Amino acid sequence: MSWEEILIKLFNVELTHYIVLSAVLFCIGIVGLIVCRNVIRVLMSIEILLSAVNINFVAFANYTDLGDLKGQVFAIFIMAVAAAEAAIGLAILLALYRNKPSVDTEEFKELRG
Amino acid sequence: MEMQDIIYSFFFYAIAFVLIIAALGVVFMPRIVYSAVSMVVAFLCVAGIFVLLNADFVAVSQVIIYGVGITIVMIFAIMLTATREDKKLWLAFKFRSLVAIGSAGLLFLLILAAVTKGFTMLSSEAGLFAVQKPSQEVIQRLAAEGTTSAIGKALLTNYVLPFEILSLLLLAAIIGAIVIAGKGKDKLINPTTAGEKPD
Amino acid sequence: MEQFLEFFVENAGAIAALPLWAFLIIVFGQNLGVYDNKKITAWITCTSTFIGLIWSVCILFWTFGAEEPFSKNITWLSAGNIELSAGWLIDNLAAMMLLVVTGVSLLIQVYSHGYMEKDDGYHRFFSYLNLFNFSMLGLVLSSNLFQIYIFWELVGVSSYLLIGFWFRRPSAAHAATKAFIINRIGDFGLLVGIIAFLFFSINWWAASGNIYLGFTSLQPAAEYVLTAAGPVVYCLIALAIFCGPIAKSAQFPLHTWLPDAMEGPTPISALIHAATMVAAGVFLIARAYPIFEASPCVMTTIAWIGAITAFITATIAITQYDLKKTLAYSTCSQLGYMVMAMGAGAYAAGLFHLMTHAFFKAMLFLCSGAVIHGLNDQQDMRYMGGLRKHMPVVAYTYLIGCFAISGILLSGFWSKEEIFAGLYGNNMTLLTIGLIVAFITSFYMFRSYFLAFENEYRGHAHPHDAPKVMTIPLILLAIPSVFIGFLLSGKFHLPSFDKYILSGHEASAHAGHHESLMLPVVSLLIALAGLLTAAYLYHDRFKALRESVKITADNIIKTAKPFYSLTTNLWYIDKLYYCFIDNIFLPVCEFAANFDKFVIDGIVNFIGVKTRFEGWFLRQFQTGQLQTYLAILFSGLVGLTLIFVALNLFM
Repeated sequence: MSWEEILIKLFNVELTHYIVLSAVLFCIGIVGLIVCRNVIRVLMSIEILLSAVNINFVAFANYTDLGDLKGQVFAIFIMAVAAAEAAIGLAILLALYRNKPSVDTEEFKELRG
Repeated sequence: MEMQDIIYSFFFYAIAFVLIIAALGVVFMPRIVYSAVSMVVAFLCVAGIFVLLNADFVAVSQVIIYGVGITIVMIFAIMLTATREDKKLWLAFKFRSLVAIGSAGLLFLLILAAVTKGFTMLSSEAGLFAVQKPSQEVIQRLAAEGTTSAIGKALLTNYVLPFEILSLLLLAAIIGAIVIAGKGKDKLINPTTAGEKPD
Repeated sequence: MEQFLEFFVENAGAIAALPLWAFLIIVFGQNLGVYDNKKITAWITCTSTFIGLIWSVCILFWTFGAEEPFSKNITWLSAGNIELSAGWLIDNLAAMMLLVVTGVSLLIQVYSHGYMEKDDGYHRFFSYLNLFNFSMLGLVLSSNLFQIYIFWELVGVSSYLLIGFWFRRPSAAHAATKAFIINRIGDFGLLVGIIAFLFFSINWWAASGNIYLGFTSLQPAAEYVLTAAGPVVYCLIALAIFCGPIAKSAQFPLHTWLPDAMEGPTPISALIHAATMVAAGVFLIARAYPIFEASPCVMTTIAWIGAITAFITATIAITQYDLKKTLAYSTCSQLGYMVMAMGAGAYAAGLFHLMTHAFFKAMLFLCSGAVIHGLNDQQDMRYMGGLRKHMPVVAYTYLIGCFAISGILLSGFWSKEEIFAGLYGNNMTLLTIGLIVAFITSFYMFRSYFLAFENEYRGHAHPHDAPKVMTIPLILLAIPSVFIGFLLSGKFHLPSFDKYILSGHEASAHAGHHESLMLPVVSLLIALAGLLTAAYLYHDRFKALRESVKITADNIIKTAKPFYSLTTNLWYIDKLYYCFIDNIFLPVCEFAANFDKFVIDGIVNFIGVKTRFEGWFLRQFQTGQLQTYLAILFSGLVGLTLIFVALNLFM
């Protein structure tokens, strides 16, 4: 396969491009989830993860199921769940903060028992 | 390749580029407020991607829910916790970070390999996910009505049960958030630390 | 009448069970604080033994009219083709032993009440005494070799407990341990012998239908084993069984525990280490006689071991100054006589001597106990003397004992004479040794008598006479010591002990009687010579004569210096043992201990350390931080994905 063909394929945006894009977002979200020390940033990383999933759903809906749009329905569902999750996340964050005035994840070691 | 496709590709790459940069910004920006701004940008870019994928209703929802609602929640969180020393709380330079970055990179490569087999399957004919060309009729219907009515019908016909459960979930989340965040319930939430600090 | 006596025989186990009950009553009564009266303990003990004595007498009368030995057994355990029984066997031998054990026990228990009155461990002492009585009577009643082994061990334990009765004294504790360990050596041999015997004869027992290892059918079994195992192996088996009597009856290589066992209270020395338990070895030889009899080499070994023991311990007894040690070595020596007689085939003579010896030796020990008691725990004969004036009853009974053991007309004379008669026909060398030992016996016994009871008092404590509760048993024991030998000698139309014991033992009744007057006269003269030598060397009446002739005890010691040091050092047997223990046994033990410590423990410790390391390793993941868990979770997920993708891509 020549370079030209690869370039043409790269510029002919298809389903795979979206999948790769969502994979990139997912990986960034995971890294953020684990690496960040700020609890709020961890919450944001979760939103990034959900967005990556949403992109995947909508992309599949567009390329394989344009008649029924099941993927888009699911994306709506996920958004609603994400909103709920954000609200609960905020509540938990506040409760934690009241017990221990910090948002540093390194300080929360209660699971150790 | 037609002009239309070239413009489409151009838009895709532009939005994807900004999206990835913004997502990286969420994680790696030194200050939490920058992260929040970067997150807003990322959400708007995701909405742009949805537009490119013929999902106008989802895109609008994305802007409303993520771009506004969740962002406000995050900003509330930032303000309520009022971190003075947020520069210190940037990244955790620990072994787990290395593991996470390594694993994430590996996962990305794996997905890439699985999806494209090294870019040999980027063409639609031999792709893993063979693309079905939608019929002309469907395209015309979507062009005339948009996706909103289709999604609305789906939500109230096929997916009415999950939809109702979702409303219950949201109700539970609201009540739960109030209960958890409400004052004077600390002992219920975290008995171990509550025991340490008997104030 | 016949049925009346049969009742006692059929329930003979009660004789052994009564002391067990007494033991339990005393132990629980004391430890639960039910009563605290010493008289109750004494009454319980003495009553149970007295009932046993009456019972034994009834059994004895039954045996006069009985044709066959009575045996009653229950199956105790059966495993595979082995079926072991427990029960009792009443024959003439058992009846005789029962009478001796219960009779001597009763008198000694009465005596102990006086002797131990002031001791703190009074109740403990009597509970041990009952435990011993139970074990000893069980041993006598045992119907098979395996059961006898169990009671054999039990008497060993009670002996251990009683030797170490004053366990706060280090010497007593050591003596108890020594006795126990040396007995273990013999018991081990006995157990090996029994098991080997059973191994070779197991088919015979299964086919014959007799109870396994039962004494009544031991003779055909022994013949079967002899043909099955061959003479050499059979000889080894019989010698292994003989190891038990060697240790228990304090025979030559393992006799060293008995003198040390005198650390126990004196009634114990009298009961266990003179009259009954040490005689258990002789009793076992008598019980297992068919086994030994089948192999001439074993019989010769037994006879020679008995002779060596008799001689060595008699020579040691000459130089002892401790009253109880003298008696202890004399016990060894007399036991050597019995074993020698057994080995030489004079079966009945050995048992006769056992019985007479039980009475007069118990009496002698009780006398020594009375002396020690009266002198406030003074045991050294150099600090005694002239005690005849202070405690006449003790002195005269002791004198009777001396006459009896030396074989001057009293009971010892008749039994020894029978032993000599048995040896006369078989082995002249052994007879010579026996006569020499008879001289030495007479000498050291009268030496101890003259040192302790004649001459002037050399001690410092004020001697006081023994109480009645102690002297009455002495007098009661003196009666059989004087008469029993004569009454049962079988001469002058009196009842014969030999005929009684040998009835039902036709095969072993080959101890031909030597009916000449020469042997008794010679032995009597020899014993009198011993008496006169002792009197000459130790009685003050001959002081002038001694000094004029210049032959005194000190001079003899000087001239026979090597022999003297040999006997005072107990023939270096103890030293040899300690040398062996220090130079061979302990290094081996140390090596084994170190092997255990470093290799075995090392393996175990390594396993522990490995587990701890693994725990530490796993604990590193248990940080309590959610993000660490997430990292682990995520990397695991990626790993799984990697596997699946690899499988899909490359296969």
